[in-house]
Amino acid sequence: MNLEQMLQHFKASEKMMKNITSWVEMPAKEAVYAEFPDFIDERIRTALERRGVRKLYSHQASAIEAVHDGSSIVVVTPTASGKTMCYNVPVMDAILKDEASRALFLFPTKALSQDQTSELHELITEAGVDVKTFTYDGDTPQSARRAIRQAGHIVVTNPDMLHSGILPHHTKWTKLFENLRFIVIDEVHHYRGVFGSHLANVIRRLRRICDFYGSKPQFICCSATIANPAELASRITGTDIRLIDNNGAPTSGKHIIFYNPPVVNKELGIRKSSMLEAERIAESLIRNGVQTIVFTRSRLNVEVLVTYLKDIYHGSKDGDKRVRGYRGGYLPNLRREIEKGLRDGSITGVVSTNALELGIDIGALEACIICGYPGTIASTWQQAGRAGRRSGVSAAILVANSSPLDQYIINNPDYFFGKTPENGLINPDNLVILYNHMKCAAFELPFEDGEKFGVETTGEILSFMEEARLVRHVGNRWHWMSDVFPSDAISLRSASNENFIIIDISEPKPVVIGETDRFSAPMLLHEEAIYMHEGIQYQVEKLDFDDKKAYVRKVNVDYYTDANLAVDLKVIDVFREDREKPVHRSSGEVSVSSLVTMFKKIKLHTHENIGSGPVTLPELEMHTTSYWVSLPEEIPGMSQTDVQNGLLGISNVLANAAPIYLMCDPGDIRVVHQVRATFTQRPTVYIYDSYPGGVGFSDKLYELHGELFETAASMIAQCGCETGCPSCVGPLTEFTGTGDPKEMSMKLIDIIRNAYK
Amino acid sequence: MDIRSKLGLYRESIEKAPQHVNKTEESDIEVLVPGRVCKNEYGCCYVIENRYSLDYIHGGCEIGTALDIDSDVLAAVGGQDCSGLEAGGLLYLDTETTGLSGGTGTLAFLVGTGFFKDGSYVLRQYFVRDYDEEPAMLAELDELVSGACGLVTFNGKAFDINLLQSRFISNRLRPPFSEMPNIDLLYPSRRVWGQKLESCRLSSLEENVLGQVRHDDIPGALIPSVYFEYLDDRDATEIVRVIKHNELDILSMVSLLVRLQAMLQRPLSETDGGFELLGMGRLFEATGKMDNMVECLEACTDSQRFDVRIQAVKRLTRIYKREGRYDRALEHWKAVESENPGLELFHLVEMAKYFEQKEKDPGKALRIVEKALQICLWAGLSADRSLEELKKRRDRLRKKLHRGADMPQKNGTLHEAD
Repeated sequence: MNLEQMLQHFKASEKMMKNITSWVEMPAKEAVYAEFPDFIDERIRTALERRGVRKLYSHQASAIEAVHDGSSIVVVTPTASGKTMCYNVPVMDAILKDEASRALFLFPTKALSQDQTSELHELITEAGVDVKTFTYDGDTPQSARRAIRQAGHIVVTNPDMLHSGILPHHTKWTKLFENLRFIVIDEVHHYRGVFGSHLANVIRRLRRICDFYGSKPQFICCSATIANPAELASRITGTDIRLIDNNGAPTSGKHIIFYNPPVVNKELGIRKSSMLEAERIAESLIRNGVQTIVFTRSRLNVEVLVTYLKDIYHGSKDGDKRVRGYRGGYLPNLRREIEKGLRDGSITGVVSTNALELGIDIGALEACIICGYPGTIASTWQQAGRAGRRSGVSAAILVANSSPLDQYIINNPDYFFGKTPENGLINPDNLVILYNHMKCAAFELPFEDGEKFGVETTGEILSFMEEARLVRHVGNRWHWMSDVFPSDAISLRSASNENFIIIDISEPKPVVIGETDRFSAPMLLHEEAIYMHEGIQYQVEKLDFDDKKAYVRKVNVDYYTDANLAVDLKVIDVFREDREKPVHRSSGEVSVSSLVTMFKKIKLHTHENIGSGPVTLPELEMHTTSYWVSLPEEIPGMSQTDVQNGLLGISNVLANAAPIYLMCDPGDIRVVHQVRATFTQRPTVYIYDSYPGGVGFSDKLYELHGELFETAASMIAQCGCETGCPSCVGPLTEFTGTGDPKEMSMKLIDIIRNAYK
Repeated sequence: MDIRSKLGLYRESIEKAPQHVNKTEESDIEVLVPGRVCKNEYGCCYVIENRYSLDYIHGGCEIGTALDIDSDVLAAVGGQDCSGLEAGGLLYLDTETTGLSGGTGTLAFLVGTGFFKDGSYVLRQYFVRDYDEEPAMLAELDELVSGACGLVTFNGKAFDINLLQSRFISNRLRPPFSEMPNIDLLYPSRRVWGQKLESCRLSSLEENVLGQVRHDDIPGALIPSVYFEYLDDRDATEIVRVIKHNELDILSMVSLLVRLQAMLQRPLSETDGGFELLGMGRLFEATGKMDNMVECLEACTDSQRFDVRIQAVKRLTRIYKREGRYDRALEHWKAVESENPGLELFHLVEMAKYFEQKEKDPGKALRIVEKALQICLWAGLSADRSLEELKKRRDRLRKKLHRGADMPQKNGTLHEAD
């Protein structure tokens, strides 16, 4: 059977169809072409023609023209729409017109930068022009670095290298910075939260250095579809950004199918394993020779699924090579081999983590199975975009697991197919992050009096730094006055530089497997905690709190641990508030002190509480931003206990609803409730950023207040359980009294919704 | 809440500024180290100048002898771009900085220079009393450097010049260093003394090569904090030590260059005849002076030390082989063999190759290989890679002889070999 027949077969199967919550046939879309702009160098045009590109897609032409007009832009396109042309062509053109021009390309990962530059190299070779393109990252040999600094027209790197390897040594890059015309930031939607807030500050430093050398680069950004691409790009670059979203790339017809595994335990809301269901569907497709990619969320799952699926070709010649895994940790050569196998069709099935989600060229496959919602709509579309051939039909199947977010998505296809609600959020003015980058900036060039580094309070921060003996104010300048190299101590991937490292001591040679921020450490790394990493369970044997090290050992147990966090939250400052209506909403700055007192062992799948233990760790205090909602002091018809239960239910739902809008992991925010809050004197729910200083979530939630509670309401209403389960208001064991947790939560949510109708 | 209080909350720990001690005027830099304030369009900086007569002795030589250094020697020590330089026009340069890891944010707060002028050696140090004096200091330095024909530094290529270059650019000044020849003494020193000494830092060379011992020298790692403290309290007591340290560094560079000249001109008499001589061989090799190199190595084969002799023979015979002078090579291998060299095998392997490939005498080669194998067995080298190679060689030789056995005329050889 071919794919089309397979789909007919699925449609005819009642067993299959009863689990399918949505089946959308996206029609094929014709390409919208535009002519090459006249100003483009003839050599580029003929090179493209020789490569089969005779016309541009509309978005490519718009992007090239906008850049030509001098604008900084963000191009929003789906997968496989020729977005690299949007920056390769204008950059090459500028270099051909003025040999001195330079460009800097930033990619979030090393693998991606290699892939994207190989395309650029091909175009340069085809055009037979002398445009020197080099990758400059941690792998670049010392001997090559000098030449790259002097002669590279296009320098390809990543934000981390720019931060610690290029900017602090800008005097060695004078050619680049004096002539920098373009800064290309690909996958800009990737830079959100902590990483994005860091990048925005790295760009502030970059622009400061460009100012020094007298260049005024334009930004060319590319983004997947999110709600606020121009806003995000503009916050990151600190520049006005023009949005280019007239995508003219053609698409073939595609079936998008939402599959919800059947419920096996109604009381607990447990469904059949998404892995097994995905495997079953993948197997039937691969058996029929349909080239299929399966995305899973962890490296471990990749290996498990590959083992299952390899059985399909058991005993046949080269069968072992027909189904492959692909994930981070594979060596580059192996990866290249698999990518090639996918392009030439010698591989029928591949199981991957999101490593294949980004622009690596594997051609277009027929079918894509996404095992577990990838966390954001943008990722889901990028993964689904892997299936889709120019001619013929393709299919993407999303298989949900029982987590609240998966269940919400699978049951609300409109949310998925409609206008995306996902916001890429950053907070470049996060004081901790800003302060750290101001140190780097002061190292790079002295600050002048009156100079602004993104914020009005630059001068005050500098005089604070002077007290800390990091800078010295002499004449009208602030000079770096320390023998430390500040960027070395600052990681772009974490908010504070006080991280705990996690060391695996299962093998004789200890290995660092991860790190976590100081404020999560007591929750995740207390002794006896089960720490999950890459789908593997580890138990914490020892936590050295003072040295910020946790020693873990691999285990295989059927439970996870959940620490009881006693949180006290104090409001320090109110930024915005709305107290007109009976329900108040606010956003501001808070101090959160948290103390972990005990932990519970919770059985996997059933969520039964099977044991507990004490935790003795110091109380931690964190300052961050928060959004909060407070209800009237008295709520008719609800006792104190009812309100308590209702608030608890709301908190649990909000913890899952908010990430939908924020493009963050559930762990990036925390929710606490107080029946009578110290600050508001009313029943209050707080959602705060779990990073010191906040990364922009709270302010957005204040604006999204209405939508947020609509979503929370439908999450509860649509849940198939009776009075509450971990997929909606939380496990019943957490509630007290006799009231129905679902009902109590809904009552409170309705009060909030009605107040803002 | 204002930003300062917030910063106070967020910052995990803040180093407190030290208490300002009651500083007296006696500890002013101007009092402790007399100098002059130098003014130019960029401001001013502090300059300390000392003159040394040409017969002043430091590091075992009169520093004036550095005036007569041959341009050939300068090329041998500094590389091709230093040939044709005039020793009298060189500028010796060394910096003291606020950090050792480089990058644009590191200040060279003390730049020491030395040069010959009007019959004496002038040691001029530019001291930046605060950050705002840096541009004036760089402008002064620019003038001085531009008048020189080349630089002499110790690790200046990787550090001092690099760092100054950055500072010129950061202050919007054109660095005067591009294209300027730089005799960086670190590289030849490593070649010459890398094997003999544990460390090739200037202080180690001073002590072990020049016989100059420093008293109360300030450790390099402390220098940044000494300067930061000076900025805070203006007490120059410790800065004086830094200035002295820098002065000695500059003087020692002169002596080191004189020492290298003597060794280059008279390697056999001016070296220890051991590792230093071997090191000279390396220096000659690097500059393409193969005859001088062979001369040094031949002399090393008479060294008292066995390890020097072996190394010399290894490198010498490599050259002889390349030049086809097998007779000379064989002589050395045999000489090694004749002195009962214990576990040393290389000469046996080389001789086996020679007899197999050049003399076409597999029987003799096999005997030598078997001897080498015997040594391996005594020494218990059972898993060594060289053992495997020897076994392979033995088996191949045996096969060769066996094939030869089919031909009647080689019978005898086979017999002999068994």
